[in-house]
Amino acid sequence: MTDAVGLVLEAVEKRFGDHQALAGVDLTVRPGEFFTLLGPSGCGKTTLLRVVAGFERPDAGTVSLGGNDLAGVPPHKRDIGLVFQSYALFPHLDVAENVAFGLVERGLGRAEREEQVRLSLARVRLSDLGERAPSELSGGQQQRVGIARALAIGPQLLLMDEPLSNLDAKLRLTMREEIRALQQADGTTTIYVTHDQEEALAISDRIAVLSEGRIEQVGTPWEIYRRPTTIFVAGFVGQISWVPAEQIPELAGAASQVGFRPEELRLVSERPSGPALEGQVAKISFTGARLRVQVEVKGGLSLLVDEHRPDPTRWAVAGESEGEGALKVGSSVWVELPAEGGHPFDASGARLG
Amino acid sequence: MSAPAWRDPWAYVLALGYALVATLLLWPLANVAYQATTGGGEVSIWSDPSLGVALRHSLVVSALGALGATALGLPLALLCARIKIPASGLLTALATLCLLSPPFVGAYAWILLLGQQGVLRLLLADLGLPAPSIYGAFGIVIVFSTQYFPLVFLLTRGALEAQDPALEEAARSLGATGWRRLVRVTLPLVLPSLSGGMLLAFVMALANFGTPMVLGRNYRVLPTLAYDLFTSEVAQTQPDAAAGVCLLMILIASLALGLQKYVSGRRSVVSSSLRRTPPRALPGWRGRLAAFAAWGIVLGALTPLLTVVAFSFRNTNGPVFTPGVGLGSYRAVLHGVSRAIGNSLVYSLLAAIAIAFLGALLGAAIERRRGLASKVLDGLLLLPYLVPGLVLGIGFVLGFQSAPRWFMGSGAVLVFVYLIRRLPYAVRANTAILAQLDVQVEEAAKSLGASPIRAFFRATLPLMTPGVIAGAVLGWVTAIGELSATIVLYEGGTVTMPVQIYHQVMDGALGPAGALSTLLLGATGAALLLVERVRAERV
Ligand SMILES: Nc1ncnc2c1ncn2[C@@H]1O[C@H](COP(=O)(O)OP(=O)(O)OP(=O)(O)O)[C@@H](O)[C@H]1O
Ligand SMILES: [Mg+2]
Repeated sequence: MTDAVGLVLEAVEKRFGDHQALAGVDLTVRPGEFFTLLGPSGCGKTTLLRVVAGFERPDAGTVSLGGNDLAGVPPHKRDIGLVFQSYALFPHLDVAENVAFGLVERGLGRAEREEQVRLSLARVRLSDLGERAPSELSGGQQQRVGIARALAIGPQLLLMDEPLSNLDAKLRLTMREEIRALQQADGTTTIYVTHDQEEALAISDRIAVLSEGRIEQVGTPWEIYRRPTTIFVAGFVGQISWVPAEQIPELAGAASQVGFRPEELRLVSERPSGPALEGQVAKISFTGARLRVQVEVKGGLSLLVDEHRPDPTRWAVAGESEGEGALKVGSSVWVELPAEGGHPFDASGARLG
Repeated sequence: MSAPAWRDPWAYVLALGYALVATLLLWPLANVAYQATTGGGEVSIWSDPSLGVALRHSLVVSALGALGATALGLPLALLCARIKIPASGLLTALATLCLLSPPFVGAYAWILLLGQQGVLRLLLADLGLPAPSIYGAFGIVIVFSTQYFPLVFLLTRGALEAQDPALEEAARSLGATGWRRLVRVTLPLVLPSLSGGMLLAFVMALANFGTPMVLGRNYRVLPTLAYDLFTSEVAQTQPDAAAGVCLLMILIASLALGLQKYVSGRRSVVSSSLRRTPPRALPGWRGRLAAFAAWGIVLGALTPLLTVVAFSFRNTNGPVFTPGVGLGSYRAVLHGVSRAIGNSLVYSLLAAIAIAFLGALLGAAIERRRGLASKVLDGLLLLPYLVPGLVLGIGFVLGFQSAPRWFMGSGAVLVFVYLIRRLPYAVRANTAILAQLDVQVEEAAKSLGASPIRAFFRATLPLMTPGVIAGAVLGWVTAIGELSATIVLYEGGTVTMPVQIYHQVMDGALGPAGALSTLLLGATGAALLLVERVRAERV
């Protein structure tokens, strides 16, 4: 492998009829990286993946892997493994035969093939189920077979299109950890598609956020969440409340609006010394680990504030309270803004500072 | 479902179903079996060498016919399911016409093309080329292949279209392309449907009586042997020997069904995905080649039928065509055999109405009143798929010998034969539709105060109507072209169009035979257009 190059997309465009599914995508995925495409439904994630896999031909732009231009290279010559949302296991083959499928195409001898199948199944912890039919497996097991099948051919690049979206919430959590661990163990360069931002943040080395066929931002989960460079990314990844500059001149500087994450804000009863806004509690939602409070501020503005480890004497949730004068819907409060200034954006939508 | 049986109206419907099956199916078949095992003629059929020969011939032409149908139908299915073919709706309709055209019209058409005076034979002779004889195994296999390929085509295409596109993409990304992908993934996935289509083609070829009768000459197959033994045309009638041959035919069909179930049933390949693989536009010369190939197959199979239509306007004098065109043949038909036309229309219409009505009721009873009784009835209704028309006809003759004349001597018996032969198709179609309809619609009607039967008629039946109409029309089409049961049951006054055509072809009256065949084809085509219209309205 001519390493240190990875997958490179330059100015890739794809159009379906008069719908521009990809509008000039530039992207570099480094070798060994776990790279996630994140974006709302219909933004072009699957299309991008299919262009890389070779199932769609881009209208413009180039795709290269390991320094080799992939134009004109058919899917089966690309050395790219695919994991499907619908698993796409061959129902007429048993689990071991599914995993062996690509090895047969590569002309491996029987002994070598069986060894490879055994290893691959062991890696996804399905060693005992080689003779089962796919229909006799649970959803999570089926997807593990799908992953083993794709990895068995030792691909240069692994593509996964929402592999967990057919699984229930609990299983999604454990499976994503498993996928991440597998990838860490053998370092296969991986592109992972999801529209679940939490999933993306949890397992990726880097994330590309897409919107309407364009890349909005590429960065580590930390950067994407802490320093979103566009208003779209700030709003799509995590929660954010926007405050127009004229309400907080001391913080805004040249910005036209400033965004604040719920955990960057604090609720206090007395006016604090730093920058703050006064308002009324409009809604309190309790999700176990935290309280999310919606505060209506003058000017029709509404701010979301998170309170972690809420003090039971301070809050009246659903009419229940352990303290006198507890905060409830309608109470007047002050929202304290962070001194370092939140996320300032100018009128054109670009981030300042 | 816990209502006492006497309060449950569906129980009465099921009882009616059992009564029909018992009298029209089981009783005749029991008589065939009885006759075959206890008849005791001088020479047992089982030791007669002609049986072995006919058995071998039947197996050969049916198997080759099914293979030929696959050779045409499978490539056509692959082309139409994966590539956008221009006017594919029309192509499907024309293929269906090949399938539903009266069975022996194709045979007759090939005589026009390759018979002693056949146009194609004369054409080839002009070029100094020898033409193969259409009589014998070769001709029979050709007719079977071109008639039954739509079974393979329609079933396989349906399965190909229902496939999750991710499966073929997975195969491609893992390195399987072209032929290898076809053999390792695509074909195994459609094997149940493909083998189902091949089985139907085989069973129908095995039961086909008209084609080997017209084209076989000395090449005797099981149905023609049974017919010869049963009727006195050749020598003394031997009903017990004929019944033995009939049993053998049912046995072979059942074995074929068992084999197909074994081949396709070893692993469930039902796709749970809701995504379907749509055909792709293929630009350039490859797309044109695909369109050319697909249309070539269908038009090639259709050519004989078109020949019949064209030749029906030629002037004839007995077995020879004379120069010039005209409506002479049609005049002769309308004057000479108007009774056959009238009979065919009346019997097939009555049968179609009964099929529509009973098919809807029985389909609903089987689907809505799940239980042992409906399961067994559903299983019994499989029998007509396996029982050749000739066998059922012979069973009727044996079983109802002493029935009153108003039944056996009139068209009533023909209507009942058509009904029991085609009812299972309508029942199957209706249970399939009902399985998809939401039970809650009916439950809502019941909660609003409708009795079960009224809920069915007011809420469910309207939703089923298009399917019921389609089933009735298809029943009509097959009833009006029915030959193999009619041929042993008709009497002078109840002659039908297919019987008339058969006799005309055998007598060499090519002109009237062509005209009658054209009328029959026209009726079939019109009926199929009607079905297509009903289907189009539904979506
Ligand atoms: N074969 C196609 N023909 C026409 N339009 C298409 C085709 N494939 C995708 N599109 C359109 O392109 C856009 C991007 O589709 P894509 O499947 O890439 O979205 P996605 O980001 O994967 O969405 P999701 O999260 O819902 O899977 C959509 O508007 C879609 O309708
Ligand atoms: Mg997608």
